[in-house]
Amino acid sequence: MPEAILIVDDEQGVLDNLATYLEDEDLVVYTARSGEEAIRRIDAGLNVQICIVDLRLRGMSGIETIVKIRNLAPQTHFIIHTGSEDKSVATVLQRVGLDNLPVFRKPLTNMSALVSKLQAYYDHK
Amino acid sequence: MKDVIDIANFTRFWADGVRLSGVIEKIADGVICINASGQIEMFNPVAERLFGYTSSEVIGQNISILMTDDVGKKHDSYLKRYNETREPHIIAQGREVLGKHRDGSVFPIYLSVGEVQVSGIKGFIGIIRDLSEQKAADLKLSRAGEFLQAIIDSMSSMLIGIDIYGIITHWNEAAAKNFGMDVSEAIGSSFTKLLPFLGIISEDVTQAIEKSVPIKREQILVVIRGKSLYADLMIFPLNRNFGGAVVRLDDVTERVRMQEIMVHTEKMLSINGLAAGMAHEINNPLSVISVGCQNVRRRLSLELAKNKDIAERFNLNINQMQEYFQAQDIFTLLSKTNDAADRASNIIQKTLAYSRHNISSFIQVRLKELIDSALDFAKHDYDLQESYDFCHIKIQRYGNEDIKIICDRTAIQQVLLNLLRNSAQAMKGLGKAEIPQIDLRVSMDSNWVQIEIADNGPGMSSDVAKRIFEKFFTTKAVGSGTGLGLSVAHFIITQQHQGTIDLITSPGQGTKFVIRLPKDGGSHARSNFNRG
Ligand SMILES: Nc1ncnc2c1ncn2[C@@H]1O[C@H](COP(=O)(O)OP(=O)(O)O)[C@@H](O)[C@H]1O
Ligand SMILES: [Mg+2]
Repeated sequence: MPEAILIVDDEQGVLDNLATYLEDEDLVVYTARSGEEAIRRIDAGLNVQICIVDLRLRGMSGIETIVKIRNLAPQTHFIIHTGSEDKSVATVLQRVGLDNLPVFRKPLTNMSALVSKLQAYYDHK
Repeated sequence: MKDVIDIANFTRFWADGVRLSGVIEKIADGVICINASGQIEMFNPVAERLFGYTSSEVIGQNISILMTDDVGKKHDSYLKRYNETREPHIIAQGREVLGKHRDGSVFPIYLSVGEVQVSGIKGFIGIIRDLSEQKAADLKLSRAGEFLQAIIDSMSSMLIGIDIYGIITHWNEAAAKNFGMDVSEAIGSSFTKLLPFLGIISEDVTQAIEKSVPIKREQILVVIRGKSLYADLMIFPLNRNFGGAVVRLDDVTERVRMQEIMVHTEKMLSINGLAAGMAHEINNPLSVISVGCQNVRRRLSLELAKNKDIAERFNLNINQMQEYFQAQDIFTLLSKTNDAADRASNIIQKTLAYSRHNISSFIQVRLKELIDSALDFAKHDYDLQESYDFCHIKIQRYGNEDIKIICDRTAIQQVLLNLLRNSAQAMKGLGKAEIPQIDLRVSMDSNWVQIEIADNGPGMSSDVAKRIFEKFFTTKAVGSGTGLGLSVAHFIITQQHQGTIDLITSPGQGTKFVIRLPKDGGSHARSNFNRG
């Protein structure tokens, strides 16, 4: 089974472009416009190894989404992809004990950095 | 003398006397007659009441018993002198003297003395008016006046009383202080002449008086002795018995300034909140632009194997296409677009980092970083750009900036930015021939670092230099200067960091600020600083 990635972001343009780039890397990419949608799909059996999650989402927050997905699928790796400022993100993540997660800041002006991170997970396996 | 009086005369005297005494009894003033040697011969009921003696008690006694001791002692000699010289001292003219009551108390009286001579018998008649009540009333009146003055003086508002003709009748201490004119000078002057800057309101005063309604003007800009200030003005008409009005002026400059600052701060705060939210919102489209560029670039390149297949489907030669894109600079254009998105996001990031100076936190920083970022902010400072292009200022840096100090980073950045901003504003007026320049010089000894910021602007007079650290002191136009920059800087350096900030300047010689900071951040830092 190929490696699959789920991208959660409330901006369609972000989803489209990330998906395009990663698909060109021959990765299997799913997208979700909200935390709720992401959880629904995973709950329905969608199997992904990595989730790229935006923090500020309409509805359920990115953090809540991560915590819930982790409950459903504990093996999942998470990457945070956010447009919010570094410091405040770090504080929030620390508070909920997620500060060990890799954070990629929007805009990702160098996509290859994200790709190598993803690669690292696969190689690790 | 009595023994030379002949009977006929004596009878006439008393016959007249009886008629006279009828009148005297009824008179509202005290009447006392004495003979030439000073013995009391008549004492009317009013005199009895005033002095507390019955007439039978005093008849035949020397008049001096009704006088204070010092005058009483001399009275016989006065009489003697008059009898000999005929030179009047009190005769035929009234004066205020003191009377002595039977109980020893002394009271003010108005005494007029006339000489009477009936059939060769001489005597004196004294008419006495009790002044106690009038005195008390006078005193009360003048006390009331003083009291009124004390009341209006106690107020911090400037209070000016004017009559219906616009003449100043009252003037309190606050008015005296603000207008630089004391009461004696102001009272009696014409309101409009004295306060020409209030000319605009003289119509209001007339209106207030005529219509008998108070009139209010808020935050009017007045110039008093060359100093412009904001004042709230109230005109209260007095009731019809008095006419005229009371004008109240309150210096509200500080309040107006405070409001301006609050408005500004509020704007800043909401901008901060806004900026944080906006950063997220803007980073999303930037993300689309940036990743989009990378996608386009890659799909046009040879990197991606599938590009070749897809091109072939359309009978396109991908190598030729590459040459075409190169010739048309397509890849450069794309990467520049990507860079621009990157830059835009950096600007947002920096703005946020700067505006988020929430709780003071002491951290270890390199001086070079502090100065770099302050200069960077100065370059991007919106206000500065409005009034001065910071990039035209020549910046010279001296000394080893590779020093680590413990400080509240954003606070010190703010201080540096305030100083740079002031310098840039001050150098705005430099002639074309002079190149505006700021020298930044760093030095240190074992416990302190020193930062000097010197400009070649116009400098300051000693009058200005004395006051620059005062809150709200500014020489800039209202709206362009808050007068807070340096007072905040002073607070941050001396209170928060326990350092010093000094000024070296004179007109035409530029301005230099010297900041000294304890390397370890001072005691606040020691309790606050967490190396972790
Ligand atoms: N570099 C300078 N050169 C000349 N005058 C200065 C300089 N820095 C400050 N001043 C004077 O000090 C005053 C107070 O400065 P500040 O507290 O920053 O308030 P503001 O800049 O709002 O007026 C200024 O209005 C100006 O007259
Ligand atoms: Mg200033």
